[in-house]
Amino acid sequence: MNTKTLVSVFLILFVSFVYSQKAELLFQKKIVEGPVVGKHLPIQFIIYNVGSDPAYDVSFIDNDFISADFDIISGQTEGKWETLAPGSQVQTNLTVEPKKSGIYSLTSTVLNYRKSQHDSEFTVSSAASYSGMYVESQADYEKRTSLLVKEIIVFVLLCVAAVGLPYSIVSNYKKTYENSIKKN
Amino acid sequence: MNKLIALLLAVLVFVGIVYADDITVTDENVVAEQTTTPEVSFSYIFPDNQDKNFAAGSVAEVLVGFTNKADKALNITHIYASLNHPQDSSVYIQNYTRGDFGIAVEKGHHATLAYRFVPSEYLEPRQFGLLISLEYQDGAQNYTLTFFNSTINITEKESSFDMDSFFLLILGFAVMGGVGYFVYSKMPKQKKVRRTVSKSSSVAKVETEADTADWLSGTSADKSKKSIKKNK
Repeated sequence: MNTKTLVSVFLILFVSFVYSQKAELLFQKKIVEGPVVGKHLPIQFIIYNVGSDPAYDVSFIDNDFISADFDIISGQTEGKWETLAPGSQVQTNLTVEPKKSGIYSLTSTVLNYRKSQHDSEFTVSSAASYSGMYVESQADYEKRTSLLVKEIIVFVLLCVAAVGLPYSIVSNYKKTYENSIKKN
Repeated sequence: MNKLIALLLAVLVFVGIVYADDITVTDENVVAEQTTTPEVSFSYIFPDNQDKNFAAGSVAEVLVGFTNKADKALNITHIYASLNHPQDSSVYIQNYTRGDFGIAVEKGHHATLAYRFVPSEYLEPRQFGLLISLEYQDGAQNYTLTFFNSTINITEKESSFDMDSFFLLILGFAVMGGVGYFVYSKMPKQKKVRRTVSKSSSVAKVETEADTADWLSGTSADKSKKSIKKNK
């Protein structure tokens, strides 16, 4: 094997090695708190680069919360970054307020990025979850989490009535009678 | 010159090995083993459990990246997971709910799929085997691929109420009470001033039942009646 062949093999291997390094992005829509009608709901959009090369021209757009059923309080439903290093992550926050209870599917997030500097084509990635987001109504939420003040007050009143009535009769009897004989 | 080229090749091979070790998340070997499988690649990450420690009773999420490299659209149908014995994956400890996706991924496209499961809160904190599989189809055939088969750690769920701190608190109260009692017992005792109140003799005399119960004479209850009278 002469020198030229070795150099060409080396170049081919090097180029193929460089081109095989690609970025791979995973998208997470993180909703920690349970959504309730009329309550602020913080949402995190997190993008992880699990590949071995930086991703370029990363952008995403989410259309799940751009509807009449949600009010956007703060944050944005889209984001853009020039590069995302391998093993790192970026995130944006969004706060919405649900206006209607029900189940909403969380499927319409689209992520665009270039896998390497040499790629001119954009990789299109969609984010999906099999479980929809259940927005709880205010009444259900109150029923589930309230301190049950009304119920406790009614319970105390019933207890007072059940204990207080016999007690008042006994105390009245003791005041009026002594040894079963009515006091003068 | 040959030495230089050999050195360069060695460096290249070394760098390749190092980089190949770094990419532990993307696992294309699994696909390569399936000769009949359409060309796809997987990647995954546990965003909140990257150290493979899972708290018992807490929601665990895995993000699965699916790249369709085939020349036709593929349909991802299910993702499911199970907790197995760490030494024998045929022993199932828990089966988690199968997630129905039904998502079509066009050729050349990529999809991120989120799958959640909750390890039982009654699991002992130790090592378990975790298997996560993905099912997809190309319209003619179904394919199943286990993309995660590794040992994980189940840990105790972090709780604000801790039995250790609870008993420590009780011990603290007991020590404080003991010290308080010791100090109280060593303190000089004050003389108690007793106020004797002479009972007024102007209490209205009420005839008791015993005084009037003549019908008790001759019975055992009659003695008590007599003793009462003697006391008077």
